[in-house]
Amino acid sequence: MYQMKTIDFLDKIKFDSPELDYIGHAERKKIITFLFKRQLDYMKNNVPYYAIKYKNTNLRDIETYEDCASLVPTTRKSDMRALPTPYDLLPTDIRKNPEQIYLFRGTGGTTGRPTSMFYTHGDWRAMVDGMTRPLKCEVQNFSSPIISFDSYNQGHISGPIFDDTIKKLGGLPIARNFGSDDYQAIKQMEYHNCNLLIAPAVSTHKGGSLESLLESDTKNGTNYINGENITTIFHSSTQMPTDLRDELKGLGIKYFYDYYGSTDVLPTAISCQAKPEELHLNLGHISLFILGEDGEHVKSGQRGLVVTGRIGAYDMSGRNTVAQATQLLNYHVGDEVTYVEGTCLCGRTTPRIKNIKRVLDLKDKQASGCEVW
Amino acid sequence: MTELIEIPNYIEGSFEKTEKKKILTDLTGKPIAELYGATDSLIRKAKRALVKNSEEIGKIGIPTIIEVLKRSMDYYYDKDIDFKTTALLAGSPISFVRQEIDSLKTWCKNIDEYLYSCFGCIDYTLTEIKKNGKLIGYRKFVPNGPITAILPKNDDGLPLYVLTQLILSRNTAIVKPSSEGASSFATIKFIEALNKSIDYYGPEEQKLKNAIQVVNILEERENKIRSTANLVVTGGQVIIFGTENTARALSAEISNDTKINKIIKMGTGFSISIVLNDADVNHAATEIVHSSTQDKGNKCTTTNVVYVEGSVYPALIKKLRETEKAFKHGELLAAETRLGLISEEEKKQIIGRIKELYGHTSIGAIPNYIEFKIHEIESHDPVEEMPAPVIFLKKLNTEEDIIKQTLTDIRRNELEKNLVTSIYTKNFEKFEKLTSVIPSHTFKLNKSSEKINFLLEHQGQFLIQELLDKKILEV
Repeated sequence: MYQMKTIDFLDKIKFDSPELDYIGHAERKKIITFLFKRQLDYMKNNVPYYAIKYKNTNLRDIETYEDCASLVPTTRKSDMRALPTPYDLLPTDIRKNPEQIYLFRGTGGTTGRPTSMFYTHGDWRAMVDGMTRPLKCEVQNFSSPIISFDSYNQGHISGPIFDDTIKKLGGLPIARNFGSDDYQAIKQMEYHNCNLLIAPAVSTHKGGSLESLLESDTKNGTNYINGENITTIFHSSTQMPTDLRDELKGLGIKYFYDYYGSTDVLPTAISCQAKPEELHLNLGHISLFILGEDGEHVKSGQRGLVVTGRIGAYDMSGRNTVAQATQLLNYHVGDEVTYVEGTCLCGRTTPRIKNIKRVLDLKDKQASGCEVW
Repeated sequence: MTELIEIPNYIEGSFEKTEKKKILTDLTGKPIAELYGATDSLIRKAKRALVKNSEEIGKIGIPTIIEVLKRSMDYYYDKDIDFKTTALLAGSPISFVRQEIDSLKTWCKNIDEYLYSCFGCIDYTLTEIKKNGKLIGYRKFVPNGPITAILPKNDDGLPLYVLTQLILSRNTAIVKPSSEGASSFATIKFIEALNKSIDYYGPEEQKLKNAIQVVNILEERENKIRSTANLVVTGGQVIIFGTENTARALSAEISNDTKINKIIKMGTGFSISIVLNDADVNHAATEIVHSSTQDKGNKCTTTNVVYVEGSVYPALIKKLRETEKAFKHGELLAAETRLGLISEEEKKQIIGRIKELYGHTSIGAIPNYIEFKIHEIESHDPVEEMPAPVIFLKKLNTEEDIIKQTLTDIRRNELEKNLVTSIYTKNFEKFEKLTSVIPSHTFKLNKSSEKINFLLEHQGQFLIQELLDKKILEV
């Protein structure tokens, strides 16, 4: 069996540590390569499906960050759908003892069987840490206390993940009431004096979008969504159109955070205030590579397909460990992006992606199914 | 290459151009103007402006508004090119455009007379109610909520008529001109003239620049109703000019998801003429031809159907036939041209409909043009508003037959009331008798149906009054 080498600072890695965003990229690559290989080893040895899938994948061959991208077979949504059951992606121990699962959310369903994702509490905590990591140095961009309005459908992953993000930031998350229309949602955020708004930018089936909330806000003359009430906006699911961003800025709203990810793996990238059109990779609890047509990681400035996976979580004592429940590595999220390296104007050294375009599973994206049976 | 005229949106005091564009052409397909559509963001900005500015606008004094409006007429259509552009975009003869715009400018310059006609005074905000010389209370008129006004494509004088009253009502408003014809051009010209006038005054009057927002919707027909309905805000009012069908579809879409104060429909047309046995036939024929051939014969006040009492019929038809020949196709910009042009698509629809109703027609040989034509039809034949310079003559034996037939025809057109009925007779009693039984908004004695007196109610109402909430204060 391949013997994992340990990195001496591994125990110290917390996924909400801003240092991960400011260290040199070469150093970051070493960390991600280690975490990736550790996860791959765990999957080969604990998930029968991957024992077969990665039978010919030798950990010894994987020496560099780029090797992680090119030498490990990718997984697609169709592979997940072809499985007899989504429990096939769980480690044997968790499959036998499902009480270890903390949260479940499903995706898709409009074009095929919904896919199911399971997370342990340790997985979840790592994800929430990833969500808050870029915000820890930017507390000045939030009202105090934070009172957020989460317009996402709580049956979608964005409901609980954003709520827990706000809790971790010390704020109060107000979840949109199930079944409320946009007018009622505005009244609800007005009633609670919400100062941070969380919603998809434009219409999806995942929750009331910023656009539809604005429509209702103006139609009914409530005009709550403006800089006097709302300081910051978290959005995801689709990139925000420029004219919508200009409109919100024109209303006096100052700070925008665009979260990129999917129910399968999240958050994988987050925008900064310096260059909102570029999203910083959230490398740490996740890996994310951009594959060119030749299957190799692309160079800066080139376009390629996004593959991602969960490679870190916490154990019961809060120590860094492998991702626990549903296992995915080099999973095709279906997007083509431009890869950008170099230090950003915001000071972070993490690679970025921009010009995101859905190229696979298009129907799923358009229909935005949220576990439709 | 001649530069295209730009027709932007107008929101919160700024002229807004976007990437959504439509080229407006004349009927030969020559580009005349670039019309900029409103994005969703701009539309929301316009709706926000309605609420944001309503209090300030509601405080501006009526005498101030009147002064600003009167001065603005010095700048409205103050250049020859404005009339020419309108003629080319609308397909209207320039003589008609000049007459229409100039008469409305005169109306606006004398707007106090109109207010006096509506309210019995000029500053209508608080008027005394007296009984036997003793003050018993007041009538108070206050703005009734933000307005969305939807303008039609076939009337280029209407932007001035409507926007003047929107401003005088001190409600904030969104105006959606038609994206066809010259509607959007005439609307933005009004805003430019108003702003020039406002610039002459102080900071208080500057607020008037935010009273009206102009939003161009460029969506295709199927999405247009929905996009237009989206301009309406809760607690607001809507003015719809257009056909009955458009008005119905829009009302349904608006009521679907918005609680509004009022919908004012100005879609009624089907104007008719009646010639009784004692009429001055020469005069009646002249007036009827006039009322059928204004512009392109496509106004709500255009007479398409004439009911003629038996004994006068031969003389009338002879006279009408003589005038029929006098109409010639001409250049829109030539002073002597009397009939306008329409698109081939519209023409095809109109001719198709006439053939459907009566089996044949001889109009339509010249491209983009429908000749003035008189069709003699059976008294029981169906008739409807036809946006073309055509007259359908019905011969009836008696006055009673005329009444019965007009009632039948109005009912067949699913109208509670038609817009105008012109009656030609020397006997006022006969005129008065007919006005009691025929359900029209307006009757005209020996006058062509298209001659609108702007000082009187249109379609039975003073538009400005409809936009206000009347309160009675007893003292």
